[in-house]
Amino acid sequence: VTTLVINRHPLDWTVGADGSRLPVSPSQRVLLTRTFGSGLRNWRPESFPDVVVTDMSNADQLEHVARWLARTREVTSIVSLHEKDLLMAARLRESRDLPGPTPAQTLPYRDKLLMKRRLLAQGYDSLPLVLPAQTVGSLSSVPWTGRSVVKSRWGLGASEVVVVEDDEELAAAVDYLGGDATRLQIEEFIDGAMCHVDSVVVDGEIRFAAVNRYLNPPGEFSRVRFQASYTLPPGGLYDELLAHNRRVLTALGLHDCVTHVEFFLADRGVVFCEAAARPGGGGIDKLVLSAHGVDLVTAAVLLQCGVAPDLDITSPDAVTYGAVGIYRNVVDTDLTTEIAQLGSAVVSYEYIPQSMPGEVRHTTDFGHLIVVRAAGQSGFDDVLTRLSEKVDRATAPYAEEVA
Amino acid sequence: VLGASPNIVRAAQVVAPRILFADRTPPRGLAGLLRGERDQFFTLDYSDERVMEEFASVLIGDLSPDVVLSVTESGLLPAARLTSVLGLPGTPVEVVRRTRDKIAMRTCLAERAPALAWPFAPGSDEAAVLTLLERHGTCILKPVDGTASRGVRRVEGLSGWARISASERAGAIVEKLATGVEVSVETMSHGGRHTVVAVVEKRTSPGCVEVAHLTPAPSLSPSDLDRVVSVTCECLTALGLKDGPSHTELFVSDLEVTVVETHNRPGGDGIADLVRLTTGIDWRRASVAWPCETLEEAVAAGAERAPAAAMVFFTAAPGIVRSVRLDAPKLTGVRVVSWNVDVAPGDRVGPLLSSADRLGAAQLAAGSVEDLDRAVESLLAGNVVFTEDGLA
Repeated sequence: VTTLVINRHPLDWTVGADGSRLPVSPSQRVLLTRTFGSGLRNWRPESFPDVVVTDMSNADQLEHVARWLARTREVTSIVSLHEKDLLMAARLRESRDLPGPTPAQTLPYRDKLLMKRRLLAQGYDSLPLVLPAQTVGSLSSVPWTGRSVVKSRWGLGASEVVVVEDDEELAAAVDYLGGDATRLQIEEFIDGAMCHVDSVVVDGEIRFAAVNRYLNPPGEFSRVRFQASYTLPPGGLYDELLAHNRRVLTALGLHDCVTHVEFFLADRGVVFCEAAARPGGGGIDKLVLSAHGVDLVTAAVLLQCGVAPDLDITSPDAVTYGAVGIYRNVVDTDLTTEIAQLGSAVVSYEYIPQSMPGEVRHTTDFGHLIVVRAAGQSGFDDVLTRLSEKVDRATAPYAEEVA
Repeated sequence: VLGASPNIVRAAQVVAPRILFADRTPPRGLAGLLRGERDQFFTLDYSDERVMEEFASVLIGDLSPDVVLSVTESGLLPAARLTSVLGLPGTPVEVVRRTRDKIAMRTCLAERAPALAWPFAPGSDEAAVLTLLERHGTCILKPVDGTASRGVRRVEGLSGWARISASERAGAIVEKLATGVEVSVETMSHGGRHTVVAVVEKRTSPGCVEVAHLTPAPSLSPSDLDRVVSVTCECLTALGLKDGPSHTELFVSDLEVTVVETHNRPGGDGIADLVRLTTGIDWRRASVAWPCETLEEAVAAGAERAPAAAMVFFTAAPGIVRSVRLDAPKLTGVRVVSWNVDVAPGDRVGPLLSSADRLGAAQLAAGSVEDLDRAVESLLAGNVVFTEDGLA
């Protein structure tokens, strides 16, 4: 039994720097990772004695190396949690007849155009109107009014997304997104808050699902200082989103995996945004673990190893949990002291030193991640206000310096 | 780069914009050693030919290297094989094989450089060994592909040979005992032209374990040095080595200069530090940078150039360590560059059978060869680690 881990995330998040999320011993692990993005963070040879560190920016090269490892190490399972690698891992599994998601199962969760076409074909129509970009000569011909969204069919989260209003902006967006219209889709712009449902699917059944709401739409990451996800109370919207989630997953295919599905809360009701067959990022795993006792990342790892996770789900209570991320360009010093002043509202705080300096490029490029708990929605809002004041104080010296 | 120590990794990074490192086990602190996306690391057993054939299939496209190198003994042949499979410029497999296999080397020298021929017999050829011993008396037995003094022993005539076990004889070479001053020569070759970088005199224990290296060689006259340079270059040419570093070991007597062995890598045992101290050349860097820079370019900026330098290794009689000298003594005319004692009171010291049994080392820089020689002899007199009889 040998497990190949293909990792792009901070290693301690994916499988644990000590490999503790994996159901195999160190001698049965092969780690393919990168230095970029803390892919070797806290790595120790005792935990992963067989390691290959490569440049993952070249997809063909990465797949070549992964195939070489799968063949020469005679791997029996492949773990891969990053959106970019899900299909490649599925191809490898299929070529070697290994357990875990296949390309056919993975593709509807990966190709955003196919995803929506599959949903429509299965009778789920609560979604934005969408067209392949290469079929759109002018926005005047699209069957919707208002703004349009140009996005990569293969993009990650809220990156590679451009909102356009006219043909000039459309041309610029296509150019900005690589120029190959066959890799892009255009859909109607949906206004509204966003929610996400995170599920664990085992043996064709949704064994667990958590419903949460985003504080800000993920696409606004470049305009806000915070992002947060927080739990919704059972009933009403919670139940409605659970029902949508079930229909979406059933239409896209229920295979053993962890899913992350996003919805808009639009004027016309709940509207599907997109789905992924992996754990959500940005601290969603910590939020769900705190609120429900379910470790989504471990569940995903075990399922890809062909092992059913033991879901010890705790009963929901009246507490609102939230995972609050402060973007890394807001303040770059450890806020342990300031956050501790929030007292019992703080479940955990993690300072994430900037391993990738520069602009915030993704909706989860946090420098600080705080999991909080509060009595209901109003209590959560109060915690956010107090947290915001702490950050204001922490950033004041910089503001003065700049002034 | 196959089997690179952290020192070699850092040396290679000075000159190579992108490097693929491969080793049997990943070094601790791997993340700190790699330069982000510019360097990559592969865990693989490079001594396994089948593993390397598979690995060659990965080295295409952006992963295709310009050159494959190793400066560790066990990596030399795999690097040459990979060079050949990938069709890259470099030292051919058969040349490396001649330097790794002492019987192949002796055979080649006898054919191509008769003046350098030296009596020998394969340990497995009983009749040839007996003839050798009858003719020359005391001989030396050593593993055909050994390093670091491991398994080297004197064979005192026929009676001595009778005491050598069958397992020791297998895979060994028996040679006529060479006598004289034992030296090693560091060279860099480019297109078949050999440049001697340093001649280092060796001091060994009665059991042939190296206990000191000194450069320049105190015991050699200028004419001795000329003969050493001449024999070294002739040896390398005969073996077919055209490019890269080499480390050649010789005995120098009034009558002859005898080649003991040669390797297409720099010398170990801190010799690279002696080269740097006396010539300014960063020998580790030069040994991996030769495909893209000259020796002159490998001279460290502002490097010190001491007239003489030495490595001295501490030893002691077997027993339990009673005390150690933690600080270097005052040595006239000598600067102690480093001083490391690897044992502490209470540690057990075994017999000195190989380099691994040494107990620490000092690196010295001196204003003259004479001062250096005196300092080395003083330290070799055994006044650093003191043992008493015990359970060793």
